[in-house]
Amino acid sequence: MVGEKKWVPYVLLGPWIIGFILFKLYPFINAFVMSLFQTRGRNSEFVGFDNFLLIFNRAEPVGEEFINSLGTTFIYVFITVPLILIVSLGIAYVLALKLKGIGFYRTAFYIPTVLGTNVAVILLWRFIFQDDGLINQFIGLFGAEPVQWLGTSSGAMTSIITLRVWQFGSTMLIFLNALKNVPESLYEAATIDGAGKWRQFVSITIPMITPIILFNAVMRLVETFQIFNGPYLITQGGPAKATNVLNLLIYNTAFLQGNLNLGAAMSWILFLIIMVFTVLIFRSSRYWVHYQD
Amino acid sequence: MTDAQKRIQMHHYKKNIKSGLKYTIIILAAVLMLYPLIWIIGASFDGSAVPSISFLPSNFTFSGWQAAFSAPGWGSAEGYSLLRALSNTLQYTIPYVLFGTFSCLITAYVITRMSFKGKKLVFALIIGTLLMPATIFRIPLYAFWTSPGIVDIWDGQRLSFMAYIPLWAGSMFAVNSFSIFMFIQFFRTIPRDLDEAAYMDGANKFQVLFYVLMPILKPIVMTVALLMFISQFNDFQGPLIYRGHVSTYPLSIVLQLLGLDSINTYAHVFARSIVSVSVLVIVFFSAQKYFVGNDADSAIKG
Repeated sequence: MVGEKKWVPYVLLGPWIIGFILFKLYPFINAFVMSLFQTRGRNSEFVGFDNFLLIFNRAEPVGEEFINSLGTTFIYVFITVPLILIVSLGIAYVLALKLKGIGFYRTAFYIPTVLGTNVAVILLWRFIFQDDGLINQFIGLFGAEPVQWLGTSSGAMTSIITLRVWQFGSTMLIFLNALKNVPESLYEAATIDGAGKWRQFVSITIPMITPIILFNAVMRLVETFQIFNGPYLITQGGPAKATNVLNLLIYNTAFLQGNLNLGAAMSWILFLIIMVFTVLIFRSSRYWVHYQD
Repeated sequence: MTDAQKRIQMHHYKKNIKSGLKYTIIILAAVLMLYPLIWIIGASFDGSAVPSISFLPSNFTFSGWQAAFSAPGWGSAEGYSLLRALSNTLQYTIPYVLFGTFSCLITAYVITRMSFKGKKLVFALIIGTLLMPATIFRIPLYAFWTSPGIVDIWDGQRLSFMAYIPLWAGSMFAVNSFSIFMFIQFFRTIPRDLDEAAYMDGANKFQVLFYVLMPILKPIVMTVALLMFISQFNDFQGPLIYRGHVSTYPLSIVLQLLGLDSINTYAHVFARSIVSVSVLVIVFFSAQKYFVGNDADSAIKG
């Protein structure tokens, strides 16, 4: 703009700059600095990488718990993310078939996403998975024996995964819009060539929306690695720590036991893991993501 | 009937079956997903020890709903009610949504519509922080908010608006990278000719934003505000960590504490649950017409 003062944009960016430094850069660096110290009473002592060595030492109870949490988090994330992607793409695909009343269904499938992280609804889910809860009553209608969902490792994991997959709404909306943007002419050409619906889905739909699959995969990965509400409220990390995911362990270590330094070390590891997987996905994307010009 | 007619009829049958199939899948999936949320309404009137899967209560009672609105003094001398907890939740949710939407909008406007040195860096930092897990910031921020001199600002305050400053302070400083990102992508779809025409008429930057662009921005502003409202209203770990005086406890904390015991039956638990999500449901449905399937969608077309 002619005559625009050079300082105007910087002043308007002021809040963001302060926010970035105070709420992002400073805590990011300080999380690492804190992880290099140990606090006893009022004294903080520099211990180098001792905290990191401790949490990876299987012989120590802390290390054993941390390594166990790594395992449960990986199981949770690598089952949940693909399931969310498959379910949301499937539903979006059917909704994109020029369905009547699509607005109604779109809203219906989005409602669990609005409510799903609310404590009230998670408490409802705890009832759903209880021994005398909704699911066991439902399968009982068909004469099946009740399942101990919350009492067994795999049952508890199943219940927190189900709770998260239930909230596939936002992923579905993103897929739905991507599907609408696939040019109709491609399908017409394929139909003329005699390709069936399934063939069209695999050879046209999927390749055309790979950038969106990448986006959804990364966003869900970052989010599910930090799952907290479900495990905290439904399983409390149990039984026998089978659902003691990393974010729950970090919470317990830092805020219940008050060991901020150890918690900071754990959160740095969680950060590194998320970064490694994000980079891996982006690196791999050149082999499977197709960008149009 | 000729052979050809038969074949045409067969084709119609097939088509009907196919179209029926897709409706069956969708409706079945929707019912399965939404049944618990509908069932809970019936169950809140059911006085049985364990409510049954049928929607209609077998043992009708109003006691859950009565208690939800007249909740007894709980946990503190001042007494406690669910509606108070609801008001506490809104006292940090509303500032977050107002400040957050505004600061992110301004930030995105500057980045997309003004030229300045370091723009690429700012954009890169926003994208970079988009993928940063919130967990890594949580512990140092807690150390910051509980440090001497800072802690007195919020800890022990009786107004939840003040007591939950750690939860909403960041919203004034555009910390929500995803919202900024959504605004940026939306701004990019608006032709600059609109701005230029307004400048010709002598408008300044602010007039362009608030009078010329705002009508076009309305859906994205409402979408960002709605998503912020949902995430803040449902936030659990934040209030859990910065839990202050008992009179400031928000819904997420109170619901969990009230739980199920000898006095509270499932009717109580579920009636409370419905009351506490009601605001969320009302806000969602009233903002929904702006929610143009837009969630991140406009954000990734770029």
